[in-house]
Amino acid sequence: MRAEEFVNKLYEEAKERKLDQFQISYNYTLKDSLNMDEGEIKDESNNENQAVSFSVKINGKIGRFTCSDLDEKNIKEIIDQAVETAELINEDEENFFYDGSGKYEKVHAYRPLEKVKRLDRLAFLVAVNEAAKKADKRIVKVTDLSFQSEKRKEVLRNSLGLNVAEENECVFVYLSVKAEENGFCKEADDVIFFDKAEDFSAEDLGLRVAKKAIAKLDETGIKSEIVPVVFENRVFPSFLKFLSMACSAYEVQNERSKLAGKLGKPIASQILTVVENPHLEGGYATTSFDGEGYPTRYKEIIKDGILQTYLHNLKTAHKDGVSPTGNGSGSAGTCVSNFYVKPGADSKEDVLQAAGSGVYVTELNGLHAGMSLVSGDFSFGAGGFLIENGKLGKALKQITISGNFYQMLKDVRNVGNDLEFYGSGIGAPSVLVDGLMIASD
Amino acid sequence: MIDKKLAGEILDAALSTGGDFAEVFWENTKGQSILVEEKKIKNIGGGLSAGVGIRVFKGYFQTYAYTNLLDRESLLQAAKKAAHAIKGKSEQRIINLVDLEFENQHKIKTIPNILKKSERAEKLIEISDYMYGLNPLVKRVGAVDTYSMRQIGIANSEGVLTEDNQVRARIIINALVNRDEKTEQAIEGNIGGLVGSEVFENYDFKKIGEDVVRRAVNKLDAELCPSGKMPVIIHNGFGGVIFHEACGHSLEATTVASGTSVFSKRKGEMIASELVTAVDDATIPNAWGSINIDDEGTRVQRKVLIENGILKNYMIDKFNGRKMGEVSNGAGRRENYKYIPTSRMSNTLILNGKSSFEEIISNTKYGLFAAKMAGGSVNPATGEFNFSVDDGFLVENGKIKQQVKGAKLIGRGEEILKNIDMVGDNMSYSIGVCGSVSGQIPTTVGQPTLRVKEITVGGQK
Repeated sequence: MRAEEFVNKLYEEAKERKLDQFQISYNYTLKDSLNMDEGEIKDESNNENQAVSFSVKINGKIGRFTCSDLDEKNIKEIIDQAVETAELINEDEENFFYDGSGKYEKVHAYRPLEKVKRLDRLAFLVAVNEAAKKADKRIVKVTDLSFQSEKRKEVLRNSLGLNVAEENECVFVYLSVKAEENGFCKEADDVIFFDKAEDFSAEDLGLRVAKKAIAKLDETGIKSEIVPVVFENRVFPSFLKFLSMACSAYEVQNERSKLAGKLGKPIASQILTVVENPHLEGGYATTSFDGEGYPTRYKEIIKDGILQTYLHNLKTAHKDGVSPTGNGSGSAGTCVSNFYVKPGADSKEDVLQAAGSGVYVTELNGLHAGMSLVSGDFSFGAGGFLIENGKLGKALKQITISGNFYQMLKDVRNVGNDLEFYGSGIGAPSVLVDGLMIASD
Repeated sequence: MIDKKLAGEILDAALSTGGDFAEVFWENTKGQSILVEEKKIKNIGGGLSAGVGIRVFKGYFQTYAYTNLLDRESLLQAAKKAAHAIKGKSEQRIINLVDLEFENQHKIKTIPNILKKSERAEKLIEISDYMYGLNPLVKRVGAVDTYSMRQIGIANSEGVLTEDNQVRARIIINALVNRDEKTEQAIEGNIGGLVGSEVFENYDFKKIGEDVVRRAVNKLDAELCPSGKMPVIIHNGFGGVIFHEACGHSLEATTVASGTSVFSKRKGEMIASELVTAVDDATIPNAWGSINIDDEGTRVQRKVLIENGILKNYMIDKFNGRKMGEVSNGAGRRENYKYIPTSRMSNTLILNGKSSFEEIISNTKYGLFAAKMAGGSVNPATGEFNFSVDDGFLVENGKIKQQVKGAKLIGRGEEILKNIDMVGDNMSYSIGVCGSVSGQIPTTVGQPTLRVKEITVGGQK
């Protein structure tokens, strides 16, 4: 059954059952991908998917059930399960639906440039592959090369009057390349989103990634010690993800964040300002409403090092007696849209100069297992380059980088002007941090 | 979900442009999770999902189309979409679908959804209550109970028609402790398997609760871990994640077939210490990573990957097997119908050696004892891996000493394998979730306690 028809039937059934407050969200996705191996297409995929989520509020609690088998025969069970769940939840906090009132900003999210529709995808991949392989004889393999596109529609409506919808699309090419010398291999990758004119040069992409891989080959070790670290703008966003969790009222109220009780207090270096801008023109996560249908708005999370606000959903905001902030994820926690460090004045070269000596980090690994939000202690695998005399030196053998996240925020010493978003709403410029522990393989 | 007739029609449509193999996969999953925190039922998640994935091969090229619009028209449309990318002419062939029956190797006692939500929550509240009473430092106790019932079916142009029902249950328990300004957390997630509600009966929850609280409290006194290259003793059970990352992924046909893996084309070579014999065994009764058939309909096996250090076998799926000139050994898996199946692990274990746990510790002058690992990742193309150590201890002069925290182990897979110089006799395995190109799937990792004579430890000192 088509989703629109299913949603209408579900809505009617909920009204029949005299359910006072209920909500239905529905999403529909169309995806296709082309994957190349050794210059030939190895697989091609064309897919579509739809899913519905039904929530109901009973005695102040919201129960939810999701279904992607949109057959009329499932409607009774969906409602029964959501009702049973709402009746069983017995936490103290009250939960809410939003009624759709207030101003929703008209936004323009990321879109690939029109001309991508006229691009011969196969020819583009072939050209990327050739450029990468021809770049250097030490390039031994193109390990991953794919052309992917996705169209997504999301609708959120409820019995209080909320009725919002959003459509997004994304087109990208991902390339990773392996270089080998003296029995050692290194890999480099990049991804382009066709929202800039330069993305349309297949040769540029292939050459750029090949060069990145080659640059990693000549690797050296480093003494294990505490050194200044500059995080490449592509890599610092990993820490911003943790920040978005540490600032989440959901984590704070559940005593899992060290930022509890720190509103209005300095939690980071004075030069650090982090903002959330859901209305960013062409932003990858730009949206006019959050996962609960609440209107989004611009906010400063950290201003000159001082914590300005937590990220709230309807439930956490009510508990704290504040206005919602438009960061509801649609489930228990919170989320962010375009979330980034406000750029400083210095160029990337100036930031390296300011570091003097240390490590320039260009990749982080093991993020899912290496950080404890409650303590902030982290230890990640990493890759990068030496910084010597304020300039980039040799590539480094795999290293570990350790420290404490909450302390690291305070030790930010320089923020570059090279703010970039690599296909994600979370972005950053180059960031210099005073001292982190490095151990080398 | 899809009867023989419809399956046949879908396969015909899929082969209408000259493909040499076609497969239709259908899946119907019911799942539920209950979260209890501070002895209250905080959240209950539940869902129904159903979908179909259609694949066509022509030589070394495959196409895929998935959909969850499940009416006959939409399914035939999807088959045509999959066939469309193959520019050829249909060769007349008759597919004779034969029901492939097999005996279920993983019988379950109680179908999960028979036990009411309130009863399940009650058990979690009981465990939490016990844990709060164990130590005044306990600040928060959380428990999650999850189960899934996944029905799959496969029909292909080789005439295979087969179905299976996979029931899994898992419970995760955690405790947060607080003393002065310090907060630490410990988690136990090795509770469950390819089982039903008997999961509540199969474990001593009091003992698990005591263990979790004790580990969390001990962490409060853990010092920062020193950095450097040193011997590392990796304990049994989840310690097997080392092998999973350092070696396992690189032995999947997924990256071996394309030549990307560092272990491509190296069968018969010595890739590990001669003390290492490792298997991937999907047949272990009711283990979390076990199955009867893989997601391509192939019966699963116990595969010897490494024997006395020598590379014996890869894990192989149908498509990548083609490139390698090898037959699938039942390793084709996917998270759900939205993914193309590819070679993945199941229960991946290093087998017992000859040393005892005590011998390994007493034989170590200085090193790190990684008593509990916390996960890691690997790049199969370069072999570079990383792992986090959850509970670590310094070993000095053959004795376990100070507890340490925040250690990360890094290196290259092959080095770590070759540097294993002692293997214990206390093999055990533990639940994990493995993420890769075909999504997240349930796997277990396992090994005896073993020692690696040198690994780079990244600490905070």
